[in-house]
Amino acid sequence: MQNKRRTWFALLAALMVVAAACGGDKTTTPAGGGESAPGEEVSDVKVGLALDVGGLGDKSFNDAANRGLQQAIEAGLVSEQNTKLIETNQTGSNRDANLVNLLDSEYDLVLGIGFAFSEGVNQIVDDYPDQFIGIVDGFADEAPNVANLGFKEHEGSFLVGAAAAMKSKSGTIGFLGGQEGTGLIEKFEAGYVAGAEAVNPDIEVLVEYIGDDVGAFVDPTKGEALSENMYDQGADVIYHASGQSGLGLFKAAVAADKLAIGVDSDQSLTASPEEQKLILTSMLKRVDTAVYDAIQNVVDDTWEPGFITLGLAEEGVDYAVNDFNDNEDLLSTDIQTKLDEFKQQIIDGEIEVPEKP
Amino acid sequence: MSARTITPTPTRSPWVELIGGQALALGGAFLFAALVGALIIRAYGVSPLEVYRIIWVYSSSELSDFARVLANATPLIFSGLAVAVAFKAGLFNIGVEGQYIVAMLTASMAALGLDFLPSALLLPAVVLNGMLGGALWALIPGLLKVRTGAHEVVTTIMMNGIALSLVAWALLDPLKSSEQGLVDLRTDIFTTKALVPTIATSLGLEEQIPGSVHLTWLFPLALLSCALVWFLLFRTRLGYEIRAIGSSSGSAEAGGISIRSLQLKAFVISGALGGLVGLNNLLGDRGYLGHNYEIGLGFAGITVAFLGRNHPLGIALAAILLGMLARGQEGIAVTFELPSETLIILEGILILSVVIAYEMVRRGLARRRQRAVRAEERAISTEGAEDAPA
Repeated sequence: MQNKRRTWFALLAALMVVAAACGGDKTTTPAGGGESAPGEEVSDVKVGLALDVGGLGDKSFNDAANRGLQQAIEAGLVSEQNTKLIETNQTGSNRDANLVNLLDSEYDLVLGIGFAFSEGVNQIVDDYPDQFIGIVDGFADEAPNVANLGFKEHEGSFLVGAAAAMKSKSGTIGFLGGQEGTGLIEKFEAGYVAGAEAVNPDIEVLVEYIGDDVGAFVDPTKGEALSENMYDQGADVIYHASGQSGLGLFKAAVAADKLAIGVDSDQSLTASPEEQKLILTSMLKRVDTAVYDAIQNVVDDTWEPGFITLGLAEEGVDYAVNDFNDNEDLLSTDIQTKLDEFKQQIIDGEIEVPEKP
Repeated sequence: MSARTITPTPTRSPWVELIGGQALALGGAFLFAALVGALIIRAYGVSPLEVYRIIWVYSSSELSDFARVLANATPLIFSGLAVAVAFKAGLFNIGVEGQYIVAMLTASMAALGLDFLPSALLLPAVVLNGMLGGALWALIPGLLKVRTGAHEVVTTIMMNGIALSLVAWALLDPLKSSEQGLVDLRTDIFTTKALVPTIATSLGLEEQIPGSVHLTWLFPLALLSCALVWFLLFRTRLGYEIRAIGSSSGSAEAGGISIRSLQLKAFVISGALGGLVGLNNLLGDRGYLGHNYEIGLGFAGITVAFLGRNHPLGIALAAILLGMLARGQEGIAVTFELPSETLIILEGILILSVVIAYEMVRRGLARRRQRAVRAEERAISTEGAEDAPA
């Protein structure tokens, strides 16, 4: 008994010594007491990013947001120790708490990476009048310090529509929409059809919507069935704007051995190897640009609240080029050259992309 | 840590020894966990002391911080109690997870369907409906247990999976909000009559405790539940019988106790308590059931019951402790470049050390009692009869 107790104490003492020795030098500084910035031009603006479900490594919105933040650090807009990324838990139930904690920690600009932050922001915005809040793809109520950072999805969709038309041999392409009737997904459709018709005025565009409620974005089974149907009717390229339901499109594409186009982020990066061979491109929402611009606007004191929409001119939308599609089988150099011409024409205002079908 | 003595100290009651021993075990376990945690934190190049300070600062420096801790603790108390009641009867209710998820659904149905009732009737109806949902979801594995002998661990885990799918289906179809332009899958927003007010608004503390802190009157209800469960377990015949079948089912049966009906009762009570777990989230925060409700609270209840030694008071304290750690985790996330998993690891080490320390103390006390009895026997043979402290 006595001996055992002695070993126990000896173990504790040893651990204590180790911990004390380790705890000696302080290398981190807690938020709030940041070190002075190294360069002179670097602002002392503090930027916090509240990520959404998926977190870093999602090859989608969260990673893109982080890219934007890192670019801002590299460009010398903000210093690294004044920035912070917070990930959510598995279901995102602590999304709002993360945002509030960043605001409580006196970050000057807090960005919520995803529309799901919008309702939470409405509830707390009155408590933080002196800090800037930005929500990517957001729809928060009007407030003097809140910006909803949106994208001109119709412009990006124009480009992938043009790509689809150039790639189509049958002269028929398809569009798979998520929720019908809100006007949001109709923007994608309008741009896509306009882009396709700019290449081939006689092209036939089959259009299917999954449903008229938000469930339409989480129904891959129906997405697959509708896609199959469009492929059967002769479509050889289908573009989707249907959230998770689009996973059904990719399955149908593999089954039919025909092409598909992704949306929001570069979906080739998260697809299976069989799908990667068939994903022509994706319509990109440049979350990195949105984050970078928001930081720049706060640093430059040019912040504007309300609905900000970034188009091709602001590099807010684009088409995806990656290791899987940058070849003659999928997105050939000719197609890319042509798409870049369209891009320039839209930026120059020579082409006006419709928002309604 | 008194010196070794052969004669027992009759002034020290077994109660004091037990509580002292448990306090010692807890203290030792905390110290040990803090030290091991320090090594892990250090490996990330962060100062452990600074991390521990931040945990403390974030969980107690302001009234609002402490309110957040208690808000975190509220569901954990309910789930800890639910697990403990079943455990006292010798049953492992791993299904609190599914029970509270189904309870959120049944409570939502009441909140949406009975919205014509005045608040004084609606709120109790919603809460009771939640308890009913939890109890029903526990009744199924309970019946399977007593009728077929199917092990409750297996059946409750299966019921958890079904509960998740059931809610997902309900949100896609029957309970789906008909509101236009929604981007989230959820029910309609409940009438405010169905919501539990926060303590801050009721007491006029909005200045100190902002609206983002969801400390509601469900927290006092959780404490009340602790008292009621204590009364049930230790002051009623049913509680006595539950504990009897839990500690020794064979002798309980020999003593005329019907094990099956008691197991069923314990399971249903456990499920009804489990039905309260999700209500703070549902009625104190969101005011609707959406697909992004918090999961894992039922499993956390197992930890809480374990840390709290299945005793209602211990459960309340353990829940508050875990509430502090959860709040500390938020502080760590905004302050340091530490992976958020760090504190989960710390929590795991802490629980493990507590379990080991309790066991060491229990054995130590048992040995002391044995020695005391032996000494007593010797004393009796020389001096005469006196009451033994054991």
